[in-house]
Amino acid sequence: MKSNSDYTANINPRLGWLGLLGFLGFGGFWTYQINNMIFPFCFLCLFGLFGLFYDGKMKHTLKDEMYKDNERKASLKALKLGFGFSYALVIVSSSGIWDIIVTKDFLLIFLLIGMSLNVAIVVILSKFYLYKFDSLEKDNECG
Amino acid sequence: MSDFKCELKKYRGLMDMTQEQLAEKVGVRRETIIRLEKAQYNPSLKLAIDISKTLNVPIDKLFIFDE
Repeated sequence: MKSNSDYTANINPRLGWLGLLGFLGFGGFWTYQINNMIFPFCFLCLFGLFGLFYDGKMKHTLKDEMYKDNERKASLKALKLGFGFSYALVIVSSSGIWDIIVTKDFLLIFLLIGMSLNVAIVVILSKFYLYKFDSLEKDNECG
Repeated sequence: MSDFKCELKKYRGLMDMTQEQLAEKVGVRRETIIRLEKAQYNPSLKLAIDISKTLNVPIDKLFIFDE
């Protein structure tokens, strides 16, 4: 007998719209003007909630060994891209042009925005790839 | 690219069992059985043994690896 933990959560795909909360992150530009506070930029990572669209599409799926295998492949692929993006971010940040063009504050804001978006991208991509790998199997089934 | 041949479909047919029934018996999804039959998925040893026991066929007859 399969328990509930053997299945993916019953998530409504509409919850993916919670990803719109990521726009709260742009409030950082406003708070920076008011009192130099930049932490609201972290809210940009809430864009990752768009991944719930894919979670919803895969609701109540038995987590068998192929599912877990696909989950690992999807996470690895998304993390590789995320790591590449982080590395590119560090390269751009350390390129030296920042000292000439803008202040250190802007460099910090740039990094915070970049890292928050990176988290969102990794979350969305891992869900997307998992859905893609699983749909590929469904396509094969039809073919 | 698969490097093995899977005779699962043949032996499942001999047992007059549907993909759904076999999937339920070995505790996986039907999609997994479909992928196995097309030799597009390399199963774990546990799954291979479970299928072998369910169909009463030796593993080396179910999954034939190229030498």
